[in-house]
Amino acid sequence: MVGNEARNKSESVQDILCSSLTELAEQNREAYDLLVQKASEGFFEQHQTRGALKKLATQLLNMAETRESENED
Amino acid sequence: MRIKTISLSWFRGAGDRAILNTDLKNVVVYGSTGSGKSSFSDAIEYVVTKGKIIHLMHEYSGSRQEKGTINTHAPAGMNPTICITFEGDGSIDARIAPDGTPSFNGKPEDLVDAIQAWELERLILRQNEVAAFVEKTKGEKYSVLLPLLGLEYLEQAAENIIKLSQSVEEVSELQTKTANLNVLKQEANKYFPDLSEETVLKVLQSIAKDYIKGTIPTKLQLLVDTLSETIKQRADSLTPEITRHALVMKMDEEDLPAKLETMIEAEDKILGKVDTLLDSHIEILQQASKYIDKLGGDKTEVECPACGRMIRTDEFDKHVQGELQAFKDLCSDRDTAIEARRALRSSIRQVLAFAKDDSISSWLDLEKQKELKEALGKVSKIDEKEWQDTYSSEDKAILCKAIPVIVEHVKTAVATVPPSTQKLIDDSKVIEASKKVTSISVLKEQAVVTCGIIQALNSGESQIRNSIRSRTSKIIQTISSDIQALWSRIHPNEPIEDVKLYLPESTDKSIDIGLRFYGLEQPSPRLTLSEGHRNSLGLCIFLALARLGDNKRRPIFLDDIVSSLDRGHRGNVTNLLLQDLTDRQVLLFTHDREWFQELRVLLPPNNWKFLVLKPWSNPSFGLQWSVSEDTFDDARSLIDQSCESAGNCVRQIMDTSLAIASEKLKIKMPYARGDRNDHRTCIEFLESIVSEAKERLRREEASSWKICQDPIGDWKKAHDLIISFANRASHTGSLVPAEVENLIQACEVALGRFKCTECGTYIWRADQVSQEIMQCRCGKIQWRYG
Repeated sequence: MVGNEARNKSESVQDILCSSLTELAEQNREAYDLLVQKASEGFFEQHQTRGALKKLATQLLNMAETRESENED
Repeated sequence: MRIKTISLSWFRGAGDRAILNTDLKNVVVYGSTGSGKSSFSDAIEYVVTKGKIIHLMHEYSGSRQEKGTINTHAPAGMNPTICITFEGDGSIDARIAPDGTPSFNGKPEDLVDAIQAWELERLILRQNEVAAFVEKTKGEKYSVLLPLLGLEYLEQAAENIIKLSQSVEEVSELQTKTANLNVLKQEANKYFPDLSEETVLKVLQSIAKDYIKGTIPTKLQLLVDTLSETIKQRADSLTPEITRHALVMKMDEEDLPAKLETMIEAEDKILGKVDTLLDSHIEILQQASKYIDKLGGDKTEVECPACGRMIRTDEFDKHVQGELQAFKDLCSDRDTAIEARRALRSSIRQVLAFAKDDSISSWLDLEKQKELKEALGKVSKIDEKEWQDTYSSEDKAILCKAIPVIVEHVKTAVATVPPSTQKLIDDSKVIEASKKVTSISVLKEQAVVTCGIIQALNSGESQIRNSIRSRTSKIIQTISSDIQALWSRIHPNEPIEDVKLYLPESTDKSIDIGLRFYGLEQPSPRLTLSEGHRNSLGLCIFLALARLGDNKRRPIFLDDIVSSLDRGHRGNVTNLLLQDLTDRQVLLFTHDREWFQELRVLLPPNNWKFLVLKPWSNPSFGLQWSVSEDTFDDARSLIDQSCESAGNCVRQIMDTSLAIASEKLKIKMPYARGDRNDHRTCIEFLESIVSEAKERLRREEASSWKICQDPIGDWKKAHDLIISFANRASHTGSLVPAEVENLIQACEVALGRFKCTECGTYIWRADQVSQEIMQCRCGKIQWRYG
């Protein structure tokens, strides 16, 4: 039952994020997908250290850079 | 999940072994003050919180609370243990090592996780916690309630997302990039007002006509590269004299006087502010310290740091915000000064680098440039001090003298530069500016992407907060109706109504309690409610929360919760236990003997079990159960100290018990004047009971009903001993231990006679109103009262 509760909770945060990040989904699909994936893993419901959040921030920004360089190529 | 037993060994007040056996029923445990009854609620808290007891969290209890959890007189080598068994044969064992380290074992194994998922705030309510929730600030209420409402995970998500947004801003260096972008824009704008590629292309193509023979590239990047290379080659091929002209012009463009002036102004501005701000900052810190002290008591007012008057905390907050703004302004000035210093240092280095070029150094050797050479030498010495972040006042004085000399000589030299060299330099500036346009578009793109992520995250956080608010609002509406219903049960017909939880409009992350007091809306119970009312309210909120959601299978512990309620309100709480908590296992602990006696009579024995703890004797024995349900062990424990106190204790027990018995048996008592009716003695009750019992008390024998004589004899005996011994205890003080023991025994037997010897229930267990008969559960004893 505890597992079910946790899954429901994850879906709930994921649902909210999906509905509020629609603009990002159009502008920056990779960043959007990464955020939604993290939400589905329950990343946001648990306490995260500054380091973990910084790592995710770097990933989000690197995705954008990679995409830009791919576009340039 | 009902608790079957709680066994303690050397834990808190327990000695070698103390077992609370519930028989899976609800339990009322009576124990005089200090008898050790709270050890059982402490035990469940210890297990649920994985080895912590909140009221033991203080400096004296040890790092693992070992000084509080382990019985002070536990024999060496004995590890304290807690064993809790549940219906269905599940059990949890907790063992505490001598250093306080706990270990937990469950059968089945996952039972430990299941029990440790219980929320303490919905499990145990103690006397000192009853009103605590009511008295918390609205922010504290929010923090406590959110996990209980099952929404803490959303709050955590909102916090993580906003912190992620801040991390994105930090990692991307958005602020620095935006600042750079602005500088680049300013520089490029001089040549390309709209910064568009078409304009840049057009301007460069026009310049290219003078440098490129043949086809001029139409692609911007190619044109920039080609022009750049061509102009460089042209410059390299120039004679040293022309090179010198170009370098002298560049030296002039560094605009050293303006940069020196900007730096001095910016540094003076900071110096002007720092002294006064430091003083006020210290004052703010001192007042902030007082403010923190104030948080322990009245949270609505605080002493103003500026004028010393008492002001509202929101006004104080404005003061603090104002001071913070002043600091932010100072930081901004500091940044400006740092930037000005950096710009001056950079320009000086540029000028010194130009001066090292062969074309310039030979020119500087001329006699008429002697003054310029000396000025550059002085500036160079200052620049060698790379370890310095700032220029000293002596350095600034040297710069203020040297720079005008440099500028004067450079300007004279610039005036002699031929127009062709001038054009070459101007064109090269345009090419450099066109390169900045490319950088601008890259930076712009990066900023757009970063801002997009930040905005999306901020929007996500905002949506989650909206969701928390709307869900909280829905849940607290449900709880509020429950709180109001429970409140009405404890305080019927009182002009305090519409008790509810609500979300204050003006502040985020807050929940408070509102009510209507004599028709007037009140935003907080702290404004109008008495201590007793606050305690009732705390109890109602606890019960409403305990009943919320999927918790119905969990027990609840109520530890001395009615201390500040009078008899009438205690009775209403009893009704609440009877009617509103039927689906829950309740473990109720009380030191109130009168209430315990009422509960014994009022609560049905098929659902409720009553246990009595002996008064505390010493830690080696620990808590001990009494064999008597009638609390006579309280009297027995007093015999060694004072026979008179023991006798008076017996009288109190008999007064209360017989008042309840008389009420239940509908004994007709003669009317007395005034409040005398409320102060009848056990002697009066016994006399009336004996008198009526002669006609009304019957036992079934061989299928016929016969007057039951045995109880009457025991009641008479108790009556006579109370007159002779208990009265002496009250009035003459000349009792001996043997007399008190006789009295206790007789009274214990007398009270026991109200129960059927076969089924063990009271005579008034079943009231068959239509036949005006009361009887025990098995129906062997009847009381006809019609």
